[in-house]
This record gives sequence, structure tokens and C-alpha cells, in this order.
Amino acid sequence: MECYNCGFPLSELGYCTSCGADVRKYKKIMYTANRLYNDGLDRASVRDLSGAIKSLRGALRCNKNHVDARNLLGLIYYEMGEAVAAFVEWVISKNIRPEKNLADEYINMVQSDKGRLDTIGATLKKFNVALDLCNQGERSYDLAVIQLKKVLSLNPKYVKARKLLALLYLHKGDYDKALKGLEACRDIDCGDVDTLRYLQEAELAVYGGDPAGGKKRKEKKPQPAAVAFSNGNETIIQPVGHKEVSGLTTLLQIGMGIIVGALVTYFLIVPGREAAVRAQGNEQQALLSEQLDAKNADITDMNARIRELEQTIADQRSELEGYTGANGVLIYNDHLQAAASAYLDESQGEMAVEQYLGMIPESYLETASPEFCELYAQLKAEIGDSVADSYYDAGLEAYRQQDYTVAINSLEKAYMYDPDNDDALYYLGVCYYDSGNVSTAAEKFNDLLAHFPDSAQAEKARQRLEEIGE
Amino acid sequence: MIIFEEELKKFSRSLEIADTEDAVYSEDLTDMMSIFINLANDYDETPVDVNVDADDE
Repeated sequence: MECYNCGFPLSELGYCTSCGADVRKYKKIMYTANRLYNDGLDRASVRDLSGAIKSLRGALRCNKNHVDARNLLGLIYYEMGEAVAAFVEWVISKNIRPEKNLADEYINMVQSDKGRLDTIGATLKKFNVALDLCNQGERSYDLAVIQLKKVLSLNPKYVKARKLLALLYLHKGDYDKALKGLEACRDIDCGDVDTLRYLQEAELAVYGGDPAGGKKRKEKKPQPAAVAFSNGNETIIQPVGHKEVSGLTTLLQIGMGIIVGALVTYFLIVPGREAAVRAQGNEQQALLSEQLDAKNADITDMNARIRELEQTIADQRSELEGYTGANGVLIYNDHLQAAASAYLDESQGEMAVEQYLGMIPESYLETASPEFCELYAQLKAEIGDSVADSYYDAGLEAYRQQDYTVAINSLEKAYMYDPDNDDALYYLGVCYYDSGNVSTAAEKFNDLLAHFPDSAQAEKARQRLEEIGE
Repeated sequence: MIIFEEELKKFSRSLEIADTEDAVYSEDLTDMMSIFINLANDYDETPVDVNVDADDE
């Protein structure tokens, strides 16, 4: 304790040893404040909250800077549901002592929980609404009751709301509910005079003028655990309420137990297990369906890929066929190579060369490489005269034997290899003429007249044409 | 016997959250200590001479 005048620490003396100020009254006020604070603390510890509030208010009337008294007062207000009154005390306490103050913890505790703060606000608003409804008259009491029930569902320790609700129940004559609410109210604050008065009124109504008696009626008399009686020289002690259990009863009980167990199993356990198995099966089915869909998609992709590859193989085969088939490029190359080999091999003769060359169609030469065409032309030129003579001789021989088909074929080739051979052209026309193909024969004779008008065969061709009639 | 209307008058509206600031400022903080110190300071520089009964100590 310090001197109010100079702040010097005070001794047990009645004056300040520093400034000489009389501190007896000052000390008395301080001691009174502390005593009232202790009284409030004691009352709060036995839940006499109303009494604690009076004591703590007294302490603060003596010393407004008593931080502990103010903090405790705020805590009691908060316990009773008066949150704003609690905040007021804590805020003032924090202003008195900004550091190391318990009020700081309380304020943070409430403010940090937004939901709790909202609930407090809603509780206070609903209580005020309920109070307004009460003041509106008899018709609004039911609404007030509903509103107060909501308030208590949000904050069951709101003493003022609980008291008001109990008062409304008392007014309506609903004493049981009033009694129950007031007992709860007393559990929170056992020192509130109004609560105790209401409680007395309710108990009077419920228990018929003797609250204690009413309670007694509800209490059961304790029964003795056993009854003792004498039978001759023996004292028999028989437990009360104990019945001998016969064998049949035991069997019946066991049977009932088995039946009940079976029913419980059938109606509770089995459906649950079935549902679990069904759910598991459904999950597996869903999983398998997903896997099946994925596999089907893979198979579809694979089939498309297979078709694509088959098409590629077919294309490549046809391309290869173009090189290696009967009409392929490679086979023509082989024919040309065979013709060249036959030309170099003197034993085979020019006719063999011509046969190989004859297997290469003229149309292929249009697409063949220049080297192929050059070799083809060179070989043909080399064997041309010899082959032309051979074909010419063979053609004449066939003509004499009247084998016109062979003769025409041979003479065609003879004229092809030797375009200056007018005899071959003439006999070619004659063969056509003799074979009955007069028009072709006329063409050949006209060709002869066109290309060899002065030759020896030209006159014969004219005669033939005259015979034909052209 | 409880008279409902009379009892109802004892109930007052609760302070709501929005009223907190006003409630703090309107709080009556007058205490005996303040009154005592003011009285003591009203005297001249001489220390306060208060007659205190023996019981008071």
C-alpha cells in the first residue's frame, strides 16, 4: 500500500513516514475494499452470485482501481449471461492496468470466437424482444415464452431470461415447468432473492403448501435388504425381492434369449451385412465396368490399328508386286538382262535375244529408265538385220505351207526389224489376203505403194489392190 | 403471493453488444477513495487531520 499523497510505501503507522499525511482513513477504505472483495470471492465460490455481485460492487465503491474485484465481477456477469456488463468491467479493468491483466485474457477469449460473439448478441436481442412482448400484455405472453425458450437454447445460463420464463409459467399456472426452471436458476445463482421467492411460490403450488412434504412424497422409503424371522431355534434371513428361479423358468429365459438374439441378428445384423456386401458388390461391379470399358476402348483402338496395318501391308504388297510380278519392273529388268546375256553368248543366237526383248512390252519403255531404254535400243539394233532375215525366211516358209498365222507373225516382226524390206511388207499383205482378211491386206498394199512406189513389189501390190477392188 | 405485473417491472432490458462503448463511458466510477483524496487535497499544504476513532483502527 502506498501513500495517496506522495506514493511512498506505507508502514503500520497511521501517517506517512515520508510526507506525514494522515493515512488512517485511507487505510480503512482500502481494507474495507479488500474485505468486500474477499467476501465476494467466497460467495462466488459457493455460487451465491447475487451476493458476490453486491460485495464486489461495494469493493469497487471503496476502491474503483481494485482490478481483481472488477475482473471477478465481470466474470460473474458473464456466467449469468450478462455479457455486455462483463465486457464493461473488463474494459475498465484493462484501462486501469493495461499489462498483466486477466481481463485481457477474458476479452480475447470471447472476441476470438466469432460464433460465440454472434450467439451472445442474438441472445441479448431475443431477450429484449421477449421482454417487450411481456410488456405488451397478456396476449403476447405465449410469444414471449417461445422467444425465451430460444434464448435459453442459445445460452442456458442466462439467469435473467430463465427467471422471466419462470415468472411467465407461474403466471400461466404452469407450476411444474416454473419449478424446473427455477431450480436450474438456483443451480446457477443460489443467492438471488427473486429466484428464491419464485421458487417458494412454485413449490407451494406443486407440493400443496408443504414443499418439504411434497418432496417427501416423491422419495421412496428405503426397503430392508433382507427379512429375518425365527423358525423354532433357527433364524432365517430371506432377501427381499429375491425369487427362486425354477429350472423351467431358466429354460424359458434361455429360449427367449436365443429367440431375441436370433431376431436381433435377423433384423439388425443381417440386413446391415447384406447392405455392406451389396455395396461392396456394387463397387466391384462399377470397377469392373470401368475396366471393361477401358479394355473395349483398347480393343477398338487395336482393331483400327490392325486394319491400318493390314492396309499398309496390302499397299506394300501391291507395290512389291509392281516390282516383282509378271508385269513388274524387276521382271522386265530380268528380261533385258537375259537378252543381254543371250547376246553375249554366241551359242544362243539372235533369236534368243529377240525372244527376251519381245517379252518387254513397248508401253513399259515409256516409263522405264533412260539406261534401260538405251540398252534395249542398242540390243535391238545389234540383232535387227539378222533377226529380220530369220523372221522373213520363217514367214515365207510358213506362207508356202499356208500357215498364215505364223507367217503373218513372222513377217510382221521381219518388217518391224527391217522397215526397208518391201518384200516382207508385200508378203504380209498377201498372207492377210489369202487368209481372208482383205481390209488389212489392202492397208498393207497401200503402205507398200506409199513407202516403196518404185519397187518391184509395188506393181504386184497394185494388181492385188485391183483384185480387191480398191 | 407474487404479483406478476409488479415482478415484471423489476426486469430491465439487457445491454446489447452495440451498447458496450456507451456503457463503458457512462459507468459511474466514483469511489470513496477518490472522495477522500479530493477532500484531503482541499486542505492547505498541511496534512489532513482526521479524527479517527479507536474502533476504526
